[in-house]
Amino acid sequence: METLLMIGLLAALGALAVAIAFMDDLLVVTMLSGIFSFTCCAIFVLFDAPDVAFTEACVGAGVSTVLTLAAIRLTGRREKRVGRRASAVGLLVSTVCGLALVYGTLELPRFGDPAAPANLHVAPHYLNESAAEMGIPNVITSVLGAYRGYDTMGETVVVFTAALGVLLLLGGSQSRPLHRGDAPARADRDVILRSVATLFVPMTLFLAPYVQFHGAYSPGGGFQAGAILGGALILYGLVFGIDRLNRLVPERVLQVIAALGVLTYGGTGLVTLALGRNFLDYDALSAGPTGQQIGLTAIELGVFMTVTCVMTLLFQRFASRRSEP
Amino acid sequence: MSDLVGLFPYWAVIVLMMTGLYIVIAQGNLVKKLIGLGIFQVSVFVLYIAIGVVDGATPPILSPGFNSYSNPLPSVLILTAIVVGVATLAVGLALAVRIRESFGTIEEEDLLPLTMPELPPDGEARS
Amino acid sequence: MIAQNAAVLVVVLPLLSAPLVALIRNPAIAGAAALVIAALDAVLATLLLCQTLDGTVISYHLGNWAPPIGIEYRIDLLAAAMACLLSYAATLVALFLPVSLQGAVSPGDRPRLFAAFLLCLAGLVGIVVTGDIFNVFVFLEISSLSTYVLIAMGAGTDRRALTAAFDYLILGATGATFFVIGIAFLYVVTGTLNMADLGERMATAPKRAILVGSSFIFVGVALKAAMLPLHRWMPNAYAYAPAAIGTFLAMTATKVAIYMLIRMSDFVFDTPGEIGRVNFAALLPPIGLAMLLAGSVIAVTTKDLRRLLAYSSIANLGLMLVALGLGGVAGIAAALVNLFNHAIIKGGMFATTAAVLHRRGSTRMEALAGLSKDMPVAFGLLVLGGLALIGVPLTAGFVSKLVVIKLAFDQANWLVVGGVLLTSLITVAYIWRIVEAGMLAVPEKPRPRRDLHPAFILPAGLLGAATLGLGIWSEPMLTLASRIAAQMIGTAP
Repeated sequence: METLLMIGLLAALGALAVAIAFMDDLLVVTMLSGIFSFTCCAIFVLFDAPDVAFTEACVGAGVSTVLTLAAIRLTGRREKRVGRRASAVGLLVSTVCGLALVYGTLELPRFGDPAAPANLHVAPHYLNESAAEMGIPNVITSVLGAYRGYDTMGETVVVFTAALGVLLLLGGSQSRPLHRGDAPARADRDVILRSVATLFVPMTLFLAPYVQFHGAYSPGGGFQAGAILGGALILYGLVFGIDRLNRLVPERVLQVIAALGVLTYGGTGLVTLALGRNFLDYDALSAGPTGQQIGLTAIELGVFMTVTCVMTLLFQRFASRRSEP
Repeated sequence: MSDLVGLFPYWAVIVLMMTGLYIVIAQGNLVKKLIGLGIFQVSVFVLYIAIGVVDGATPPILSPGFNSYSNPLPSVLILTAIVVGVATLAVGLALAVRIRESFGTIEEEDLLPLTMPELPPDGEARS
Repeated sequence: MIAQNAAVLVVVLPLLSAPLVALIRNPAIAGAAALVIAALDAVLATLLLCQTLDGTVISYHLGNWAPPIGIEYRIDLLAAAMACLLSYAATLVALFLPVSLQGAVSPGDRPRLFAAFLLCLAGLVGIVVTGDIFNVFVFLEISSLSTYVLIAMGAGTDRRALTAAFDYLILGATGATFFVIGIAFLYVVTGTLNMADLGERMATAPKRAILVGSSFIFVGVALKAAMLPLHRWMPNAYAYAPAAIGTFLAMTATKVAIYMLIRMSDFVFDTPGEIGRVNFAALLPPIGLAMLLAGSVIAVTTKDLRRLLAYSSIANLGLMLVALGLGGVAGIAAALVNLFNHAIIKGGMFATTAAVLHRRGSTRMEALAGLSKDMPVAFGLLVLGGLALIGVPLTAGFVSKLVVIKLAFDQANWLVVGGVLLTSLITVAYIWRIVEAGMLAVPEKPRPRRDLHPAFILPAGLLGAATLGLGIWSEPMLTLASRIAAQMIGTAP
């Protein structure tokens, strides 16, 4: 049954990818790529990776699609078709790379093989020792926040860098604010949308902290919670008008909180240094699993702050830009 | 024959990856290129997650009654990569918007004559 | 405490100060802060160099998890020397970064630009000190994302900076994805991400997966190293980025890619495969020679000084690849001598070019007319750098070329000897164009004599002095390079 489901989903992905390659209406292409992401989420669930599915749904299918749509409003919806034909270089490069990859898989362990080297060397430590070392059931959270916590700090910085980049490119002296009345909140239309949003926005406000604090026990954590809260704010802006979103959470506030998030994460590391231990060694905070859990809570909070604010900030920058001079 | 079944998921993912790569190389529209890049990256994520699957196991969230779990490490790596992907997309889209505003087009073939190295500098600061 | 944690502080300092710098409202204060942080980082890197000079390898366990469970920072002499190069370059560039942004980037945007600059530095240093291959990817992305944005900031003076940045983004992101695919193949057959551990476990792993994995990593790195035929992004990026940023990139970005090649050459790129020994090193001399010739020839035809220098950099990267491809301790040592010397020579020339751009508003060849009269110091520095690129004795460039030629001569590789000598001749041609444009061409109207802006004097002067100094007193650099190379080969699994 699972095999059939997997084959069906992979086939759907293939069809979507080909459709994306051939469509020239960018609005359609963007929606298709959102569906592509969502289908991948289903595959991730099937492949025992609910945390990844969760994140891909929030970030890949959600925020990415909205950002692309907001950008298309500014760059134009139609792709130029004239004189477009199959690219020989593109075909050649992708065929060669594809064949090389297939060649590389020939000696790989079979799909789902429990004796594959990938599942034997480092991974068992995480699965067997995490309960004693961290005292939390979600091994993903303990690898993400503790064993490979430094990678996650780098990742938080990447998110911050994106905000910095978009602010440099579309903000400050480069901003083109909307004229008054350019994006009216359409109270007369979209009744259903507004009702749904009125219902959903408060609900997500409760969901986000749950996902944040329950991340140790079930799929979730700072990234997902941040993307959910950011998504709620984006939804608010989409339905009730970008002006109201900008008034609710001004750009400067978002920027400060995003920076503070990175500093909360890094600061945790600096505190452990100051206590005479290695960077991000949560044992410095308290002995045994308690210390680890304090550390995890602190860094997840930092991630949450940065991700929420950056997602909102990115949308704000695209959505509150005037489309023609 | 069992080989074919055992490697099929990898091969299907490779086809997806290469479709994404093809879009990146072949398409002239800058936004479409970014979307292709997204397809390429998401397919790589599927490859990673496929590596971590263990037959008959459950997601790596420890609970009594289960003793076989899938590999947590690929999931963690991909959580990182997903975030990197959206960050790259955001910066790329911002660049595309600015290119559209400066040059009036985001089609590669129309941009080519406007970005020849021989042309005199044409800064936004002046215009 | 600082000394024993220098390994991590050298990355964390610029990484965590960047968000603070971005929040500063006053551009002058933000610029000064960036300079101070870069200088402190240089101190930390120097500290690391002192600790590793005797052959010690620092292994720092992040979060106190022993590798391969956790992430390891592994600093040998090569990593420490690279960290020094990167942080010194950042410090020198930070000296004139604020001045060179005048008229190009509005003051309100500058604090964020300085923050992006620090993130770029942190990302690059993070790549060189880490011992974990996925951590390389994370820091590669930090440096790449900030680089795209920094390049695009040149749009204030030339809108083509935007397309240059976009092209680089597409290529860079594709390259990074190739890198990640490569990691997947290596991970699936070894089960580890720690590079030292990976090297050991690779011996018994299935050969095909290793071959494909290392090929994809190679392509990913080759893109970053502007290796032919993947070099297209580089000249535009260097020519349209703000001049100070171009200087920083010329000194660091491609150098870090070469570093990655050297770092991984121990284990990833020297893989015995089933179809004979697949030796990536064998690919390097032909690619390198092609870059050497193509870069030099195109440099002769360019009409812009920065573009000329960029193509000349492609030629020099080619020389490093040739040296690396010749193999062995001597090959790595020769590549490293070229790497450090070229960073210094080209850094000096780009810094001087930034100073010229600041006065003239253009670096096109015709804008250089009368340079020897009204900016004699700048002209002198450019000529000095040019002589070094040709390989005239008593300059660092002479030493660089000599070590490669000597090595090729010993191996009776006449193609390399001939190629290097031929490029020196072509280099004379494009350096002559600078001399011609700056000294012989008659300016439309005479300009008042206004030489380098004071902010440029220290960085351009220091790099110029180093170009001469390392040519006359070449012993330290040669010793350092061969010690690094010996350590690399010695510690290889």
